Amino acid sequence: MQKAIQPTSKSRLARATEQRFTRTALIVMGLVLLFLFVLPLVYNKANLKAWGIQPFFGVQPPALIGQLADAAQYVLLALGLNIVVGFAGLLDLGYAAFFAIGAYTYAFLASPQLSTVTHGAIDIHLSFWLIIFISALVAAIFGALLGAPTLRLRGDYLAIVTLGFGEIVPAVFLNLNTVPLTRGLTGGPDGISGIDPPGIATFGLGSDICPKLSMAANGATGGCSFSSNHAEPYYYLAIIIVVILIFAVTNLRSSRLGRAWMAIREDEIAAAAMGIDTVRAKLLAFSTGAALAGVAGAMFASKLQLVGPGSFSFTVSVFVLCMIILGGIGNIYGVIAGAVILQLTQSVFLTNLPNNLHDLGTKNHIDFLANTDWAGLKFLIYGLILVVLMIVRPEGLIPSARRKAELHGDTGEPAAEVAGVGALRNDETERANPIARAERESLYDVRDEDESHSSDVDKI
Amino acid sequence: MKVIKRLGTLTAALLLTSMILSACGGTTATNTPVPAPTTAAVASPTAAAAPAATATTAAMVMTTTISTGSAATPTAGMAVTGTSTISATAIPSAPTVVVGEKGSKGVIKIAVDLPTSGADASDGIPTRNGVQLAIEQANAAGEVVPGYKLEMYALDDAVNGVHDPQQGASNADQFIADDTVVGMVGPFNSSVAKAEMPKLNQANLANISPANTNETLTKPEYGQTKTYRPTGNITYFRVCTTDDIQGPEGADYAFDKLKFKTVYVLDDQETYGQGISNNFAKEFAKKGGTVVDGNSHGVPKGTTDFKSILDTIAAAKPDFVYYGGTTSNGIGLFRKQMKDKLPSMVLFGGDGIVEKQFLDDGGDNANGAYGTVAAVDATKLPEAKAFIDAYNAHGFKEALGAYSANSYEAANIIIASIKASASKWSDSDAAANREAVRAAIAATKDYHGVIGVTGFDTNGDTTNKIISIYEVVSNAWTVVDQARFGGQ
Amino acid sequence: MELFVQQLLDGIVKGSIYALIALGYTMVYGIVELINFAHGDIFMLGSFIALAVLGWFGVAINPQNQAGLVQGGFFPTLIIIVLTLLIAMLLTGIIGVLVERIAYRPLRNAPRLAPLISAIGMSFILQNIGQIWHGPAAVSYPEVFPTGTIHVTSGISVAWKDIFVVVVCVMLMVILQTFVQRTKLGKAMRATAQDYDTSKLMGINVNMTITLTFFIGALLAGAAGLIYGLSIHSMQFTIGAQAGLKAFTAAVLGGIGNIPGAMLGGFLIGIVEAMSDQYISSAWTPVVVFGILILILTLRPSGLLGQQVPERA
Repeated sequence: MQKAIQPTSKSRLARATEQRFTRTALIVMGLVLLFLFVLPLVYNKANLKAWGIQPFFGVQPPALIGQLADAAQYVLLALGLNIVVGFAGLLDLGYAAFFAIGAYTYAFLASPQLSTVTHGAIDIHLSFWLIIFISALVAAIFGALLGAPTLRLRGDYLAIVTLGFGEIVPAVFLNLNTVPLTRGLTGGPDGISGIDPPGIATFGLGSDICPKLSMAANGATGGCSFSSNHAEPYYYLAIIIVVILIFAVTNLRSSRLGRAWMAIREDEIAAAAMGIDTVRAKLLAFSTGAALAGVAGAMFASKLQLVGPGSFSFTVSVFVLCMIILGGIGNIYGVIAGAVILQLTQSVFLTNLPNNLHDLGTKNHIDFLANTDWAGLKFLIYGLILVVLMIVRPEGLIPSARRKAELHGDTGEPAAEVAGVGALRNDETERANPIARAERESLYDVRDEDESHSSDVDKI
Repeated sequence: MKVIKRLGTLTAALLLTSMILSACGGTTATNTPVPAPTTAAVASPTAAAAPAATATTAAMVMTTTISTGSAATPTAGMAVTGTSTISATAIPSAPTVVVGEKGSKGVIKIAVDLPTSGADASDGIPTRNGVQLAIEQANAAGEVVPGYKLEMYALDDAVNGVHDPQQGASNADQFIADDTVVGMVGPFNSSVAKAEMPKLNQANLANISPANTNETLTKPEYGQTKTYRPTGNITYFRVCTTDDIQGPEGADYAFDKLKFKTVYVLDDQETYGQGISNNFAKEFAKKGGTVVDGNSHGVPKGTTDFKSILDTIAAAKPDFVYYGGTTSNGIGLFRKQMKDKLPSMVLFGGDGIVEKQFLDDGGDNANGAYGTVAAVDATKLPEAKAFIDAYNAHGFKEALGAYSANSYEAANIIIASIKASASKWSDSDAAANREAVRAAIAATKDYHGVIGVTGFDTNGDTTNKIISIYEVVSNAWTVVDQARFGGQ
Repeated sequence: MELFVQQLLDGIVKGSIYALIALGYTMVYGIVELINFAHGDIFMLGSFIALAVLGWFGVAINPQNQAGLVQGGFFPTLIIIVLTLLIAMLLTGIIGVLVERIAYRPLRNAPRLAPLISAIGMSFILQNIGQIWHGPAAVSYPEVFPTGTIHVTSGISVAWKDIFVVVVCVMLMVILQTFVQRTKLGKAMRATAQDYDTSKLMGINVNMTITLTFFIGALLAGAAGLIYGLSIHSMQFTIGAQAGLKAFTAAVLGGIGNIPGAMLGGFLIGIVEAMSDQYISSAWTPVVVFGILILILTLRPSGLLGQQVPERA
């Protein structure tokens, strides 16, 4: 869809970057990043007190930063699931399995667990920076393994098989603990605790620098390690990882492989006829998506310093699916917005809403607000949010160009459509033209492009 | 062009959401300068129920005047009054609750972290009600620390209906960040405790769990205390006894008193259930009994139809069945269904099954089930009876739960510790108050409450190690024996 | 051998309830290609409704022994149950229609995954309604059947209520199958399922047909609610979502959109669960069930009885 004829004199990377990020996009991203960077520096207790401002939604500053750092894990999950569902069109209801695999990989490689199980024979404490790649790799391998049986499946049969994997993986982590051969390995329902936090080297500045960075000096490594009560390092780390992966996924999307995925999504048979190796492309979609979940899992384990089978249930898979659909499936910025909004809805909004509403009622004599048991209505409110958002914006908050074209008629210039019109799709038009013209162009792109584009894939 | 539009939408959406969110959050900000008299009158319709309504209202007029005054002129007292206006955002949400009035100097908050939505709500809400009752009673009896009222600050640690360690950790962050929080009741689940303990420990914020029984949390011999209390200070306490005490005690009773030789052990695949089952099986085998298959059998969560599991048990021909787990995972139904497949076989369990829900679910087949509870016989304690009466009289929507008394006790111990620290209470130094409360809790010995005499040992575990054996007789849990752990 | 037969029988009883819920999934899916995630919760509400209806008839929990009290003999009991079944089905059917109106109809022409999310939202809403209605804890159901068991041999026994469960389930399935295959409305439903647009052109009131599908799906959920309650003697607001997941699995296993397939899938899952409990371990049962599901779908990508049809764009 980003097809544009560029002067060949420019380097491929420059050309690619220009194609994928317009100047406006880069400016907006820069502003958002600046805002996120400054937020912890400005939004702190001392400043709030000095300015006489109430904390946001009754959540005191340091806690909010931690919640934002948690949200970053879901941004990664959403980006990854978006590759599988949004780009390749493979409905995955068991995505939490890869999140679990990433988290447990981190836990095994950076905790006393293996040492305890083997009575000290194996004692692995690798660095976060290394494990994050291992987690991604292990998850990617499992992504391909679990993807293999689904290759022949279509639509909801695929969904149920992935759901099956999503149920099996946490159950295996739960039960391996009681199998004679692996007794005690996974900790069963207790999970694995005492996981090492990430650390950084002091680069010769001495361990005195650690408290200034909101970290703790680590005697074992001589560097600084993150501390569970100071979320800021996790927050900045999460931002860096998310930004890197946004660039990676954006490039991947318009790569040869990315366009192959979208071709498969639109019509698998046609895609195969065009010469796309659908088996390879689908497996790569599963494993790339899984790799991102693996990274998210490593971040989860390193921040919570605890993994257990309960954190990776079916509801997590559904939750991430909600994020990408609400945000605008297929659109990278959409799914990020969806992830941040939905995760904050859960961890901040719904958790604190009862207290806030009750307070509002008490202050303003609104008996209805003060006397309702809001905590008991959490699910109702959450459900209403989902239903209303979906009815108001069925294409998601920030829909992909294709989705917009599909909803607002086939104009060939989807961006020219006014966003937010809602579900005005003309049935006949959609059924007659299932593939938007913009998308058809990308189909041809697959053949036009030369091989070197696939190097984007190898990096992931 | 396309991208501009797309990003325009993005910004618009983000702006919109932030506007909505800030509108919600900001309301409190805009409402702060509301004229004092109106705010003072707020509580009166509900407060009328509380004794000494006039005195309270008078005090509150003063309160608000002071707080608005101090907002204008920064004084030494500002820290507390300032935060006290914030604190009002955290009044517990339950109908017709009176907790949350402000004292002349503000509020002292007792945090509550329990799963109160979804499947866990049946455990969490009755437990939270216990804390609410304790706080309301304390406030009604007068100010615990002169100038302060107590307030419950409850957050739900369930996400999508299941207790979630990550949400628990995030809630702990919120409690730690709020200077008026001096203690926490909770969590309910050991997995959540594992995520919260290092945080609360480093913040030196004491918490008392009403329900965690996992022995590795506190006992140094399991080698994990360095993870859970990095500072070395004891900040984590619990009023319930650990699995390694209750499980073996049950095994002793079944083997010695009931003369059973073969047991089929089940668990609900949760930390509590598997822990207590394994400890039971270990002791039962040590005594010379036979454990079928040598280990506990997990029952997947959400099972309600136990027919095939019952067939399996029937084929193994044990003398009785032991179940480690809570009633909310369906053991009452298991008991009910035993009627068809295993009539007259005894079911034995831990404190997780000794509750009314088991009787309701078990129906006409509940009789003949045994359970251990790490507390003295409630019917012989006047305090316990008073508590049960007060709970029922309060009009909570949810019936008394298995852990309501524990959370009531936990909250009362925190309140007593606040009271003990009243003389040195600081209006501005949150850390000092937290340390004072923590030290007072740690020093608790012989606290006479609704679950017997509670004290804390050097690990923060309860010294109340009396185990009562209950049996269901004509559809009521009845104490049949009482033992002190260690055979004393 | 006796044990095997016993487990087989218990598996069938278990599976018949899955099958009944699965029918609702499969019908809705067949017509609108929507995984109706709220269906399990409609089943839960149906069970609560049936409990209320039983209450109107004076069947309540005996506080002494928790058994249900029915005045009169066998026939009055049977009449009450049949009446309850019909009323509860009707009321639950109305809920199904309401859910369709609120959450799905506005999204009829939306992207395929949008209604999935509104279905999940609806599921949360219905769960909360159940929680507000009966509280977070499980609610006991009265016992109205003779409590005895029939001993076929010394090692094989069947409870009276289990016979009722299977008989009612099979009856409902047969009625449904006849309705869909033999009546005009059923034909309209099948036509709509095959080709939405052409059916419209043929003069079929498509909106009406879809509403009818949701209504019938919810009717069955209501019936399943009562049967589940009478069989398990308990209902909790979270049970719907759990049972729904199993039923959905059953529907897909059998070939989604296919009524005999849903029945077969339900029975199969019940039997696999029973066998796994007996011969493997109850802890591993979910793994075994989903493992077999994956195996079967790998070998037969459209489920056991599903037809391999080209995917519609």
